[in-house]
Amino acid sequence: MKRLLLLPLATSFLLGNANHVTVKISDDLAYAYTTDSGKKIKIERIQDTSNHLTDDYAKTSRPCPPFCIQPTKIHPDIENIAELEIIDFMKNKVATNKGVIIDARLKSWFELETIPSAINIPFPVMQNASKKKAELIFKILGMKVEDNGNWNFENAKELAVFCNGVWCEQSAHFMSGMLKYNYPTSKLHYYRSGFQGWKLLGLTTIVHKEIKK
Amino acid sequence: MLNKDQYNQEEYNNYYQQETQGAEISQGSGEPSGGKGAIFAVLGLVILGVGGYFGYTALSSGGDAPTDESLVVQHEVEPPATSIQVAEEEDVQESKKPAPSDAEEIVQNVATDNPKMSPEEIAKVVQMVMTQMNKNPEEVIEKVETKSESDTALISALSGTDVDSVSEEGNSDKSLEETLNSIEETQNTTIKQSSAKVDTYNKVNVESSSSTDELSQLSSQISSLMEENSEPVSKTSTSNSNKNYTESIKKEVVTRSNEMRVIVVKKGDTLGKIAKRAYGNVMEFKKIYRANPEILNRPDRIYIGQKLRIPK
Repeated sequence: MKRLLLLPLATSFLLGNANHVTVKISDDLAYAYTTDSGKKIKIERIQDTSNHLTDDYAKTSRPCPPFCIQPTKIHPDIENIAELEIIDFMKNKVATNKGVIIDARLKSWFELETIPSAINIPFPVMQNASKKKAELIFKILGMKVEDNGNWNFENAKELAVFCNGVWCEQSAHFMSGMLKYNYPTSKLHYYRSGFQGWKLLGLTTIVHKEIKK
Repeated sequence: MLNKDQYNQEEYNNYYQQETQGAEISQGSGEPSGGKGAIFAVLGLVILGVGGYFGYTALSSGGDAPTDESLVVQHEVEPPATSIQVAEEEDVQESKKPAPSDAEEIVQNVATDNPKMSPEEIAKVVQMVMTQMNKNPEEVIEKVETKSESDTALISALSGTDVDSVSEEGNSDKSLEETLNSIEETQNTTIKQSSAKVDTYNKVNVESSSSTDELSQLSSQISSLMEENSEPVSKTSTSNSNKNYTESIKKEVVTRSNEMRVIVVKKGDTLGKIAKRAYGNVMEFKKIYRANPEILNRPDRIYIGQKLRIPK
């Protein structure tokens, strides 16, 4: 009986809290949770409505090549996803160990700032990987080598791959390595807006190694 | 096509004519003829007269009455200028009239007071009044005020009180502006304070160690794999284009780290002190000020907890 009484109170408290959020993620989602390096991370947006990007993700122009605007699709069968799908991916795939968010940028970029719960596989590693190396990486990602030597991707994790954004071709390089060794396209997702898109929306980021002055 | 060309030609001619006419007009105004000069002179006199009249009314209505300058300034600043302008125009009309009309009224009053006065005597009185007005207008105005109460009431209603009321309105508006500004400032400061509380960068620092969950284990496995095979990877990167790309990415990292220098304002910090620390020169504060347009409104106002970009 007490539980029955407490339940509406708790829900109203939670809803009330959600209503206080000025800048929600979506209409019915104020914030979400994920884990990074064993730490619970609250994913929310910057609540200061006068805030602007000031760092290099506000930068408009870098030399092209190499920093050219990327085509929408990397591969016809690789699904494109956006921020809400990434947050959903965290909840339904990362939390249940069925999927991993891959930061395909170089380690230095990853350490500087990244999306919560993302792991780093720098694109040159995958792009230039030998079969042996690919096997090692794929095994870590849940691929199993059958007795006859065939690679079984049935339990392989779904991957949401991103890099710096629409002006960054690193995801494409990463994907080329994955496709070379037949990682199933149904298990690959491309977050084209990438880290710039994430930053632009003021979403929570992770710093593994802060640059100090 | 022909018609269109003709039309274009006509249009061009029209513009040409307008331009030449404009040029002629401007030339004309540049060298005013004798008649035009006279008109300007008359206009100047009228303006001087109006100015003088305002000065006199201001003096007569008391020391508190503001001068024309204050009026003008407030007109520039305040939106209800239309009503004030109307009042002013009426003043102008009045100011044109007073001398003759007052003199006539004085004459009439004198005539009514002394019905036996001859036209010559009346003319003398008029002359006296006129000369007095020319010599010492204040006295005449005083006389007018004492003699014709309705006129003084009208004049004061149109000039003195209006000026007072305008000035009051102006003051009240000024104070209103000040309060609005102060409110805005307080709002800004509250926003700044609140933003100082919230991390506007929305970054979470994480140490990638001592975690046993599957994801972090996977991450550590991958990173250890990278470290093991870091040398072979660099050797196997055969294509030059890939090498170049990696090089350019690395260059971007350097550029980025230079761009990313961010410092947090601490107690006792000023832009000058930060500039001295960063560049060794206090005057370089301008560089920091320009690099943070969204954060800094004034170079002398920085707040504890603000994160400022320090350009290289």
